[in-house]
Formats: sequence, C-alpha cells, structure tokens
Amino acid sequence: MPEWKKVCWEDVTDGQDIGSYEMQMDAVKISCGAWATRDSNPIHHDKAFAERGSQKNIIVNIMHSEGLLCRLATDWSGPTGELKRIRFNIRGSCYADDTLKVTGNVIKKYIGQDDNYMKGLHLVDLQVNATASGNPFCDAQITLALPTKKAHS
Amino acid sequence: MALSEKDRSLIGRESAPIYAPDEVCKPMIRHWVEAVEDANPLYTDEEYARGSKFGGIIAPPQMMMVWCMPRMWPWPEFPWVPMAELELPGDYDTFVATDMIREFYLPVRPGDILSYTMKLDSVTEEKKTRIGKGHFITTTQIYRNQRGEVVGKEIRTVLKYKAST
Repeated sequence: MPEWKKVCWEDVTDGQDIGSYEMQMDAVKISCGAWATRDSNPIHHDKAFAERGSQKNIIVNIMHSEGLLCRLATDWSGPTGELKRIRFNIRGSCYADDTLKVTGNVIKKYIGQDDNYMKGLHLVDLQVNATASGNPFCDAQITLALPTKKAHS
Repeated sequence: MALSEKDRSLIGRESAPIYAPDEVCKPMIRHWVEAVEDANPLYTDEEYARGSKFGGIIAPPQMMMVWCMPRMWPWPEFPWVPMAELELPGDYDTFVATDMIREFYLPVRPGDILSYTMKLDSVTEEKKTRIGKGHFITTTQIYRNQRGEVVGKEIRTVLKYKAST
C-alpha cells in the first residue's frame, strides 16, 4: 500500500509554494473531461463546431478545469486535506494540443473564526493558477482544512 | 431603466428540487478521476477509504454539480426557476459569469441521490461596467442528499449586459 502524503497545519507557512504539475491536452483528454462531467456542449468535442465559433480547437470545460485546479491542492496536502471552498475564475481557454500547467502557493493559514461550517477548523487558503501553453487559462482560491498534530485528525 | 415590480418580486424565491438522474456511483467517479488524473485514494481506493475518517469511498466534492447534470434523452422537464422569469428591461444580449463559489459541507458517497434548488439572491439595478451596461444576477444552487441534508452550495454571479460597440 502506498504511503500517502500528510501535510499538517503546523507545517505550513504563508506564501509557500505548493508545487506544480503539467498535463498535455489533446482531443481525447478534453472530450473525456467533458463526458465525465456530463457536459454535452459540442465546443468540448467537435472541432468543426469550435472553428465555426471562431475558436481554434475544442476547449476544456469548466467542471473539468475546476477538478484540475483542486487536484493540485489535494496532491500537495495529501488525502487528509479536505476541500471546503473554491472560488473559481476563468481567464482564457485551454485548447487541444495545449500544455496545461497548474501552479500554486499558500495565501495564508488560519483557524476558522467566522460563524459558519468552517469555524474552528485549521484552514489554509491557496492560490492555484492554470496556464495553457503559457497563456492565462483559469485560477482559483481554494480553502482546505488540514489535520493538526495535536488532534490526530 | 429601473427593475420592474415583477423582477423585484422574484428576488429571494427558490425553485422546487431538480433531481440527479442517477445515484452517486463509483464508475462515474472513476471516469472523472481519469479525466483529472487525480490519485486521491479517497475517491478510488477502497482499503484506504475504509481506514479514513470517512469510513469509505467519497466522491470528489467538485463533482457535486456533475451528479445533477440533466440526462440527454429523454430530455427532462424542469421546474419553475425564478431567474428564467426575469424581464430585465434593456436590450441585453450577452451573459458572462463574473464570480463562482462552491462550498462543500458534507461528504457525498456512492448510493447518495442528490438534488438541487435554484434561488435568486439578488439582481442589481443597471450598472455601467468595463464591458458594457447590465445587471449583476446572483443565484445560489443548494445541493441536498436523499436525507435532505445540505451537502454544498454554489453561489454564482453573472452579468447580463449589452456588449459595448
């Protein structure tokens, strides 16, 4: 059984790099993402349709994009990091044949103070950015709850 | 032009639930995991997931809305939703999403049946923006499981506007 990463809240510092990954996009990957998210818009599987809409190729859909951004967050934290909140922004498009690159860093760590579902949790806010062959694609501010060394959670 | 009486009356109203066509299931989780190449063992590794605080496989939280995507055939009937009724005086021709937040409260597990409602939170008076004049429309989609527990929310703002020429 593989050993999974486990980032504890105490080990995190504001501003720290959370690593990156790259993925080569192609028509198979993009259409796979569209169907896995039940998105039947032809802009995600039909190149001729995309070209009629003045796009150069099919593009990665929103729900797939969000998954790709959140993946970096939990790749970094390990499976004990829990996704609590995502604020997502689109900046451009990611086409078949683009190289997707996802990077991120810690904005800040804190204990949830607001009177909501995150109160008392050990939280980190992450900035995660994605580019497509170097061009802006999308980004997100992602809040993760992390285990602490004290609570053995 | 100011918002109509009817548009103002729609603010705060919520649709009836719209149900996912299928229960949450492992094959659809796996399809999503393949597309994202997400190795998180909570999503696919039974043994790991059993030993975790969740006690079993959970769906990726970001799949919340995926479960509720409408089937392609036969096309389902949708309930009344307040945003579809907006009149918005003005010749607005374009929508753009300006903000999207998703909050995750409870784990979603294989076997769960999700539904969501759509609530119209606010509609601004016409505002002048960098890309044109329009109204900001904020809605909340509230996702529940078969026990009626709210598992998460999606808060989305779109600008309906007239593209500047």
